[in-house]
Amino acid sequence: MDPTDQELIAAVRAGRIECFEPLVRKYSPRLFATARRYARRDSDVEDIVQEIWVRAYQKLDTYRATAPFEHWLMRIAVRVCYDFLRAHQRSRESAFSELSQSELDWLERVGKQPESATEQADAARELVQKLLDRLSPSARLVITLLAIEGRSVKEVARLTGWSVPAVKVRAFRARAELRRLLARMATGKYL
Amino acid sequence: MDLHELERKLIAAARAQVPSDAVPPAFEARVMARLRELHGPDFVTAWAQGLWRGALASLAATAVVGLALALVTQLATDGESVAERFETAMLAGIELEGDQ
Repeated sequence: MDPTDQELIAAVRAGRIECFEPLVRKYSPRLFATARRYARRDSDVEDIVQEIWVRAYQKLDTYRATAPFEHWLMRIAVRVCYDFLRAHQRSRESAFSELSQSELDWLERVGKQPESATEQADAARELVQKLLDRLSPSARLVITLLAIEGRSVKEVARLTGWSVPAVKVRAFRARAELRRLLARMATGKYL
Repeated sequence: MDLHELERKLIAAARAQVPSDAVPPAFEARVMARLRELHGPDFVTAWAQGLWRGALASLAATAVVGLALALVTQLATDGESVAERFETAMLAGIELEGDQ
């Protein structure tokens, strides 16, 4: 029978570093899916996931077995992704992207015949990615966790370490930021 | 254009786009190699710790030697009063006739 997470963690704490590998193998798919929500380049995604594991290893002594290891790990993952967004904020601010012809066509269809502009279109996917890239780090994090992943405010508070009122305030600001960008996109045709 | 409708469609597009959970080949090995690097001996820290231990041991040795010296001095001067020791010190430089 495979050892449980708690047994593996106890062994790593006792100095058997090799017992960390089964944990890395088990939870890396989940971490890659999370990291790909915030970074597009493969090298960035790999660096994020590696940093998550390094921090998890360094902070393993702070893990209390009162909650599943995966919950504890996901908190670290969200924190590392947020740090990544903040570190790349400068490139976001200086970026200026014009919309492609297919994106402009999709936008026009939303304006004239909304039912014909499907969410599955490649243009919609590209547009939403550009939109997310232009959001501030906290706005992107909140929109991703609340609106895209469909988590509750309490869950977001637990994952980010922010208080529930702080999450609500940030969500409100994030929505306002998103709408400003949408208005610019719809009228000026750029982001 | 209805911005609420645009927002709804774009958020729906983002939801429909489930990110891949594929892990690159040999990623576990890369992570474990990085962790072993971190886990390895840190020579600067070990050197600093050694210095601190040495300093503390020296302080303890100094304290022990100081105490022992004070005790020996105390024992050597036992039996003489302060007045006698003062007198000895004062008269130490006086040369008497019979001395030479």
